[in-house]
Amino acid sequence: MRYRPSILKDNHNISHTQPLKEFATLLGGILTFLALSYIILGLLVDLAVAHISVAMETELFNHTPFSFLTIDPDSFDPRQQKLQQLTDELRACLEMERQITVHLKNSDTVNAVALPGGHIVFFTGLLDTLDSENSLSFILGHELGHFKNRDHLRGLGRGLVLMTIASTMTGPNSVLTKLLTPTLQLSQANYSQNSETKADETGLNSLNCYYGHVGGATIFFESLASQQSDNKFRHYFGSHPQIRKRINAIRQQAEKNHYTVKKLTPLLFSENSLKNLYPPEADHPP
Amino acid sequence: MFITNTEEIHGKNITICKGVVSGSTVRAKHAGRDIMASIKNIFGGELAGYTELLSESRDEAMSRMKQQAKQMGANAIVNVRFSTSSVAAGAAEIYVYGTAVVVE
Amino acid sequence: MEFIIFICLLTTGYFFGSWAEKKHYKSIVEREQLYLYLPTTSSKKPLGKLAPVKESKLVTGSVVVSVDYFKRVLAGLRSFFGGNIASYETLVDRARREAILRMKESCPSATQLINLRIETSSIAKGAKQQIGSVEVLAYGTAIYCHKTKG
Repeated sequence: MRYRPSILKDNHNISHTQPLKEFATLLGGILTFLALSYIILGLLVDLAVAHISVAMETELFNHTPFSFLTIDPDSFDPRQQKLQQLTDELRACLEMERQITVHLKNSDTVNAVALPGGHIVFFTGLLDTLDSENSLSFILGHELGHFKNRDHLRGLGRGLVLMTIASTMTGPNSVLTKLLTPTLQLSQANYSQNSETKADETGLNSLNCYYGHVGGATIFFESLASQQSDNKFRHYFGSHPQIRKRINAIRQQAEKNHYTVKKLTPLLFSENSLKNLYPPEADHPP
Repeated sequence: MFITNTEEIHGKNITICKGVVSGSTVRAKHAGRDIMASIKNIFGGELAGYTELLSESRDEAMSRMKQQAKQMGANAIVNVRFSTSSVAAGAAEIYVYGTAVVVE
Repeated sequence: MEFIIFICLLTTGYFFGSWAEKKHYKSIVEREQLYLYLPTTSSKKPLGKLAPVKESKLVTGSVVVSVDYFKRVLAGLRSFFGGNIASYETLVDRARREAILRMKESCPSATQLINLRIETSSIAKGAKQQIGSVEVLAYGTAIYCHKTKG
């Protein structure tokens, strides 16, 4: 037996594919698949939303471990009392029976979000930019509008569906799941233009009911519009319709309903809550 | 092509040794099959999808090894060994290697 | 922001990965040519008739190779649809040829290398089941003979 070696010209042990081409094909395929399932499941969620009662919603989202929906308990802020009180009064105005809890979260994010289970998460970044109670009430009324129209379920429902598909198919730590996770971030909950406009209408109605006029409804948006270049406000723009369009829509609505504009109520927190927020020791160091 | 996992091919005479040849594959089943398998995992029993995957991978690795041997001018492979590993989750990885020889 | 990081990793992975792979393959082919003189088999018996054996000992060669970020993503996408995961195939191919070459490099003056065995494992599976690196161990017996006139 002799040894006669030879060198192989071809490499049979690898698939001879173009990595970039393969990547494009696979990515295209996966996006088509996801888009299709998103559309189909989105339609199913829309159908289901109409049949989910408030009690069922509370049961579903408050007693099951939807980890990304949990609200940080450390973020308690005394100003929360005022927000809760305003929300309750606006809610009575809108004749909404369900209980809504407001959570104030310490974050620079300029946004407020309606979450399933009857929660409004109000970011301190937004609260700090407001200078009248009317503006605050309008935003709270707007979020109540989302609850009234059940957008909060739609917005998260579809994202939830998408995440569920991705994590079952490729595992909770896969690249795909990680790629999709940011879409579910609370501060970026997404609603369509139509539902935003509808929620604005509810906000305007509640404002008129509570104060007897609609002053302050557009102040916040106008200040946003003038600061458009500021990066901090991107979140709000990303998920809300064009700011100018929105201001015009609110004004038209106010005109149509013959709402008036009167003096604004300044944004004052009760003495008690302010004392908690700025303890007197801080003012007079020993 | 004669393929054995013994030192020699019985009844044949090995004349020339060509060196080591190998074939390898990394294959996966589509996500639907993975889900089916994880459901089946609850009840136990044969995971038909994965059995199929393993045999497909083995066939492909063998044919790749044979292609190498053919290109070397060999007509038999002796002392064939299989080895498996798991580099990627949910993928079958088969490696087969042996010594390519010429028999008469 | 996360998306930008992802794209950056992807492009870096693609360019550096394909550059490294090309370089590695080039070196593998060159060294395979260089060590072609060393008879290597997977059988237990040495080839032909040997001169008196001076020494025979176990030789090993091992390597751990990782796949680049781009190929990892590609493999993830591919495993969704099924089929050959081409990006891992080059990885294991390179790793095995490298391990065999390292084994040969450890005994350049051997007469023959017999009973070659190859073991593959994947060690770098961290807490998050991160995938994408392969360890190959090649081992065999190197036989050294006294020099004969032939």
